[in-house]
Amino acid sequence: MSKLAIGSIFGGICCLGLSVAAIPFQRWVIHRQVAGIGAISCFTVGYFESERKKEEQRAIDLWNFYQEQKQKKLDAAIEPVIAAELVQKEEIRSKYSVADTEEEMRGNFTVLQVDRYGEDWLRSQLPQPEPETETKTETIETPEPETETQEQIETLATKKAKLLKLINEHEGGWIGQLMQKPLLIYGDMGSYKSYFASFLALCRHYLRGHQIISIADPHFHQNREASWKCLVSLGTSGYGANQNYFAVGEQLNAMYVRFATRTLKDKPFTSIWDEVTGYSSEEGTIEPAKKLIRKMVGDPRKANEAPILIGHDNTLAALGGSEGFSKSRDRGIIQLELYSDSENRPLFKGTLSGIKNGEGEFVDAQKVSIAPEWIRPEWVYELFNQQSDPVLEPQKPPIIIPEIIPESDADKLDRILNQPISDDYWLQEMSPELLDRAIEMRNTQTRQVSESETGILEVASVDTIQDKESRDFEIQRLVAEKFPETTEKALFDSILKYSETCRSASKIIKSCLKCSHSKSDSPRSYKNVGKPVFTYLVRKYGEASLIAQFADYLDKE
Amino acid sequence: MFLPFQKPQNPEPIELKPSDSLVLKRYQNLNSWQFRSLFFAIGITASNFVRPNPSYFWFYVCGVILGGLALMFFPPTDSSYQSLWRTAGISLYVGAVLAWWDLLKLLQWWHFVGVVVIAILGLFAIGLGGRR
Repeated sequence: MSKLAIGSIFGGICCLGLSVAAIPFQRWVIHRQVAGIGAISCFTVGYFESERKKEEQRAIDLWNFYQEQKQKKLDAAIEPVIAAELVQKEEIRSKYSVADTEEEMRGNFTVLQVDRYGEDWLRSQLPQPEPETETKTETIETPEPETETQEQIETLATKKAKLLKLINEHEGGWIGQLMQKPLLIYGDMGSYKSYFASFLALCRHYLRGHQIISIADPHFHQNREASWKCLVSLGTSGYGANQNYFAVGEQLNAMYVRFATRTLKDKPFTSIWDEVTGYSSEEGTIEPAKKLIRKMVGDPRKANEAPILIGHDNTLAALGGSEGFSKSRDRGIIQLELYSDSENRPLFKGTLSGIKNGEGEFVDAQKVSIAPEWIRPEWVYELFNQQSDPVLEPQKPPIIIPEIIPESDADKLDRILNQPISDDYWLQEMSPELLDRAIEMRNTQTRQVSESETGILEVASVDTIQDKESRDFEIQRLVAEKFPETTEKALFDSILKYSETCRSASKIIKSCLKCSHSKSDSPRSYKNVGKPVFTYLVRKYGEASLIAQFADYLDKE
Repeated sequence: MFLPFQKPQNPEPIELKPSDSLVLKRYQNLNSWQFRSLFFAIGITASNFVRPNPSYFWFYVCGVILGGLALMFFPPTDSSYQSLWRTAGISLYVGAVLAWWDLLKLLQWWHFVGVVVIAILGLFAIGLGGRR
């Protein structure tokens, strides 16, 4: 506040007092008049002073206001720049963080491998630089013999004849009757359905010139590298991966369109339809599946298409729910039932219905078998795609992928922990310079540790190893003594089986090892026998997921 | 054609104004009270000058009354100054009367009644004038 303005107020008030207070009036009139003029002067000065101050302050406020506005606009303008810079910094930071982690992993890998196999071995495993252009130029410069095409044709004919001969000579040539009609393959899980469908599709492709138009399989993501591997290699498209039944439904509709538009003169098609049993209950396939059997019975021949259906049953309900077509199904579709054992392993046996004998009569439930040494998709594929003929492999069990087993977290953990490819990955990532650095770091760390704590570590490790060995020996003796009728592995198997349904360690100990809390002095006491035996077995035979499942219990020990 | 709900095609940008700060408000108050005090002092001083010269009494009375009326009824168009000028006019009257305080004891009841009646009649006359 201005001193002049305040002072003028006080002066003015004083003057006003003088101008009204003095009495009698006549004697003090001059004083009163002068005081009045003084008061007017004081208030006038004060008024103009405060007016000046007021305007000054208004100007300051305005200037501050505009500065604030400017700052706000500036902030708004630079905000995206700052944000972008922040993102950039974060990216750089994460890049360095990844590099640090990789280096740490590489170092750990090196330490592990050097400890296991030695430095020389590790160096020998590093990817060697390949001699570059020589091989390529050689390959390019080598002139192709002109007669090769003719030779190829001859070879192809020979291969066809070989396959045809095998088909015709196998149990009366029933496989040869599956080349043109729609086929339903059904059976339990692991009964070789998909592999046989793949084999048959390849036979049709190479012997009859069929184009394998599509594979509709809700488990395509699981079967791509297994049963459909050879078909995928031929360029066949798969639909419905990850149980996408809508994609399967679209393919069904596309097939119906083909039935309506194609003729016998068109190129023959083979389409494969896996998991048909589920079509009638999945939203994406309910509607198109209702027409499936009716269409299969009437339409494929004139459209020159021979679909292969794969399911778990041959009932109408399981095949889309087309009611009233059971007889037509039996006559229009060849049905092959394949068998598997209790552990979902194929028995390579089955029954065949729907083919005709020499007199045109339908054959019902003819027993058939599959020769796994050549009735395999890989065998047919290799026959037609390799220079040398594939060797017949007697008794070679095919690799069967379980059909619907989504990978659990525990399985994933096992897979990651036991993944053998990780070594290859780190070897590929490693260069001699990086290896040198990692080994140098490892040697430095080892030296430091050995200098400072060698004595303590040695004592501790020797003690620990000795303790562990003696404890394991005691428990082995305990198992032999308390469970004489069985073995460690058998005990562990029963624990493993029970752990699938029960997550409580104490219940498993009570049920599998027959140990109870109540009898502390009994031969199978929970505390003295059950708990140590359980811990020992799980730690010795259990995979990472099982140990993780009972980690809390094992840590209590 | 004027459409009441039509949006203005080129709306003028809203000019942002700063709100008055506390310091500014304090200066505004000080300035206002000094303005009122100035006219209060003018009223007192005018009375002090006219008392020794009775021949100018009516000139003084007319001057004070007209001055006060001018302040009260002809303030500047800025609304923030209108109430200030009206109260300044009242301060002028109060100062002009207060300087006679030693003679106010001579006033009788009908003087007051007369002032009130004249004030009411004045307001009535102003109201009539306002209706025309």
